[in-house]
Amino acid sequence: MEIDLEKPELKVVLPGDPINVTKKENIKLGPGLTQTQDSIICIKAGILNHTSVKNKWWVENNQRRYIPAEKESVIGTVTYKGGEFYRLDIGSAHQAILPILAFENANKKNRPNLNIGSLIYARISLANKDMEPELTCVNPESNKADGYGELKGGFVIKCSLRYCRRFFSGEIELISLLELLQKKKDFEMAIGMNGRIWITSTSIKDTIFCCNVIKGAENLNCSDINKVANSLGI
Amino acid sequence: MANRADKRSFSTIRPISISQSLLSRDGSASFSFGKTKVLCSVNGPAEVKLRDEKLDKATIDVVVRPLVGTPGTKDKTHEYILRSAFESVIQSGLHPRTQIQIVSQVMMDDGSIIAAAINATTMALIDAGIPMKDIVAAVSCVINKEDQILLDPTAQEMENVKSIHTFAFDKSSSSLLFCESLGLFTDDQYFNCYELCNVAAGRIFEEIRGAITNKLQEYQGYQTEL
Repeated sequence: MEIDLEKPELKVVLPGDPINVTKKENIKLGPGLTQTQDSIICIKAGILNHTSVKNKWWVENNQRRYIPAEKESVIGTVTYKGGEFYRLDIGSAHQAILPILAFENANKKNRPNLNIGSLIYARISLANKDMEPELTCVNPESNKADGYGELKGGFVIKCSLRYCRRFFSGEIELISLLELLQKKKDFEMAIGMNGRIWITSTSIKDTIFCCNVIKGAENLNCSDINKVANSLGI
Repeated sequence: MANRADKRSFSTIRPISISQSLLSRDGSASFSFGKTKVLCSVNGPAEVKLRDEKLDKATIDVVVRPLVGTPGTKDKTHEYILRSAFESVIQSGLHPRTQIQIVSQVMMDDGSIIAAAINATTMALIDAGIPMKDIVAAVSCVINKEDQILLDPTAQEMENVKSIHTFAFDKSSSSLLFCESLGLFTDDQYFNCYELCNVAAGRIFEEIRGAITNKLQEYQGYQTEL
């Protein structure tokens, strides 16, 4: 996503700040902004971002509580197993519902076998403030599992929501860190937008190593990440 | 004009210090006016007990804990003050059937404790990313026996006074959100106090903005450096 580079300095906004939009037609307001009568005000503290593609505006902050949003991938643990659905803890205010039929090739007779405590990588299919979030383990574009489903073995680390978003935004330093880590150890990871990263490797020792590297890179700046990455790539 | 015990002029507030994200909750902050210090934590939007559930908005639960002992009548009053001040700014309609819990712990009481608690709560709510349509800042003042207005009084200055006033303002319109006055005073004195506290609240908003900017720059530093 291209961020308007005309103003490279940070635009810090606080709740209640009015936002001056340059183009008033077809504005898309993202998280942290709301419309009151005829003006746009900010409701969260953070950095104001804008992209001219589709005229989108949003506020980027670093909150710890996950607010479900449609189409995001999350990692959850099963807390309840019912006849029709599972209930998953995804770190949001309400527990999410995962219908038994929301799996690839699932039907009334062929149902998935998940137990309480299982880790699931799923996609949010419905997010509405008045309803419990609903999950699916099928990619609607291909009607295939595409990596969604139960995560077996491995380890989950908890990190900030912002860190998870940075992986998805394709930050070069983080990607190169992963590439170098991959040269050293065989590992697999799943990033949930709810601040959870699942990692598994060939042995427990390697899993711990990968977890420590990824957890350790969270609070480093780009140059330090490069240093860590270089020290790995022996 | 005689100066005060701590060499401040009558219309200056004590040095402010703000720190954020101190606890492992969704949001936390500490705010201090000189020696007075309040630590506040915010958890939410989280799951709510069925009996507290509201169908159209979030339940705001406020707990004030004193420095020592169990909460008493005074702390319950403070809870009520905090709840009434923040219910009007928190956009609780965006998170129905959830709970937003605010816990305010007095760390040191050297006067102006309500004002410090309100400011600490504002910072903790911002840190937790709770949607708010505005932010709140509060300042206290006293009118002493010589009819002088002392802004941001210490515990010593709050003794033997004619009246004590606490005002809370919002940022965008600087309008009054909450006010508490104890004692005997005239119209003019009240409005003088109001004006003085309104100006001081402006300074607190500047400090809040500074603290948030510093913190965000720190995070952004991870990305923009190099």
